[in-house]
Parts: sequence; structure tokens; C-alpha cells
Amino acid sequence: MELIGVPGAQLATLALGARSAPPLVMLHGLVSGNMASWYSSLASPLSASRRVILYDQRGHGASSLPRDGFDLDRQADDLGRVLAHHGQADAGVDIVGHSMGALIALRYALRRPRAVRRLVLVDAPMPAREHVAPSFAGLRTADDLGAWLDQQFAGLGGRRRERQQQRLQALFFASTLRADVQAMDAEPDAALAALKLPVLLVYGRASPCRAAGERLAAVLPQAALEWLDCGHYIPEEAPQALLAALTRFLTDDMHAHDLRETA
Amino acid sequence: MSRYDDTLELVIAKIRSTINEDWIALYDIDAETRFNDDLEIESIEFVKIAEAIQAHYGAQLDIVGWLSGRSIQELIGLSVGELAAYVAEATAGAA
Repeated sequence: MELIGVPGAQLATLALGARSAPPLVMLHGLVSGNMASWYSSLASPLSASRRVILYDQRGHGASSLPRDGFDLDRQADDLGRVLAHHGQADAGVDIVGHSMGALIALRYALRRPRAVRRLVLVDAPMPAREHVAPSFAGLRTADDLGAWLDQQFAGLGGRRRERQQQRLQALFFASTLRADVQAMDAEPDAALAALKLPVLLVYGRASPCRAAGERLAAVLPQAALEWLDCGHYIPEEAPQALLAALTRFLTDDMHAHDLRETA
Repeated sequence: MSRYDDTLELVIAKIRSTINEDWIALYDIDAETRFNDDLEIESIEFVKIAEAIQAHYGAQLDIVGWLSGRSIQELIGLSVGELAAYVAEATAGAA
């Protein structure tokens, strides 16, 4: 694991698997996510045949806690810098993102479609202003945050709860994170319709973000939508089913062929 | 000391340097100590510890292969001795 500098933050990153294997980067979700969301259950098995790049987004895991830069453009810039650090900036990388990580991945692909080979959006909560922001909109005090933590992370106690509370205190009360999420609209239909990449949409049947999956499936020209029997936190709730879906999608060479024809 | 004891000592040193807080320097860590119940480490800290051990042994060890397919909760449920035993066994041929 190493730390790399990006504007305003230090990001922790890690690469698994052979250097020469096809590159895959995995982006975790907001607040509860970090590299550990993927590490042993998904990134390790995928690294048998791929170069898997993981990183902690700004304000998460082992990365620093900056005061700003949580909007999708800045976070897509961060992704670009992480890929450049690993020598994969123009390599035609596969990207898997969960939740906020999926929105960052999608923004990156819309900006740099030729740098992306295939995209997997796992329960992407688009638009985040509707699917994500309301969950923490009303938090004003440390007590509010404590109650929210107990509701969102049932069973979290002791040192882990304390550390998470400190992290969230900084993210929610001393950074632009909430304002940045509140400003996240849906990507425009015209931009999505022009994205000529194979996209796999994986959603939980019990997820509150189902409508986002249906909309993306209707607008993206090369998207397949797969439903799993779980809620929003798919990497934790259904890792085996997600691994199977990723393995099927990412080893089907027809997708890469489609990409070359339409690029 | 046996090979296992050396490995256990190394694993404990990596835990202390990774957590890097005052209390862990004083905490009595042994083979029975559990990452979850005793140390209350976060999932990202387990990843850092595993990667620090991997970096120490380099190509002798495939810790990612050993962890592969397990949930992070399962891994945090391990004892320090269970992790050290795996590392000692995996690196036995290379000493």
C-alpha cells in the first residue's frame, strides 16, 4: 500500500496481481466503503487473472481527510491520477464502482470514453441528490451523528465506532462533502446515450436505487441490467453473486470486440 | 525460538507499526489475541497489516491468494496466531 499525492489530498492505493495482466480498477462506496470493501472477497479472486487496482477515495480509509473536492469531477480527476500512477491512464481499463464509486466511474467514462474498456456500475445511486443526500441532510450536531451512526452501522461499537464517528465528524461537519453530494444531478441523457461502451448494471432487488438502474439501462446504448437478491450494499451482502457477474462480464471478449468496432 | 515464534513476533510488530497509536505499543499481544474482539481493528487496518506482512516477505508469500474469497469480517475474526501460523507455513520452504 502506498500514498500518492493528488490536489488537496493523499490517496492510499494498492495493486494486486501480475503487472502485465489486464487492468481493472475498483471504486468503493461513500462513507462506509474503502479498499477493504473489495480486498479479500472480490479483488483477490479477480487478481488471479488481472491487475486489480484499489484506492481509498479522499476522506475514506487510509487516505487523508481534505476539506473539499468530493464532487464527481474532482473525484474523477483523482481516479485518473491513481490510474496514471499505476501506468494505466490510457490503457483501456475496466472499471467497477459501487454506489458513489459507480458515479465517479461513470463520470470518468463520460469524460474519457477511449480510456475505458468496460464499465460495471453496482447500485449506482443516480442522481445522488435524491438517493444519497437525504440520508444525512438533517445531521446538525455530534449527537445527531451518533444516532445516525447507530442506525446506519448497527452493531458498530468500541474503538471502531469512535474512529468512524471522528471520520464522519470531519466529513459531514468540516468538509464540502454534503454540499457536493446535494449538488449531484443525474448525468444528461444525451451524454449517456452517446457512451459507446459495454456497461454492466448490477442492482439489488431490494435496493432503494432500483429506479436508477432502470433509467440507466434504458438510456445507455450498450448496457445489460442484472438483478441480485440483496439490497444496496452488494459487495458485502452478495459478494459471491457479484463475483460471478463480474467474472462473466469481464471475461467475455465479445465486449472488447464491440468496443473496437464503435470506437 | 522456533520459526513460528519468529513469525509471530514479526506479525505482532507489523500490527503495532500499522495501528501506530499509543495504546497498541503497550497492549499485550499474543497468539490468542483477536483482531476483532481484542484489538477492535477496522477493516482497512487489517488490509494494511496484511499488505505490510506481504511486503516484508515479497515473492515468498502469496497472502492475497490465501485471503482470496473470504469476507473481511471473517478475516478480522482471526486470531493473531492463526495469521502467524499461515505465514510461517507458507514461507517454510524459503528460509
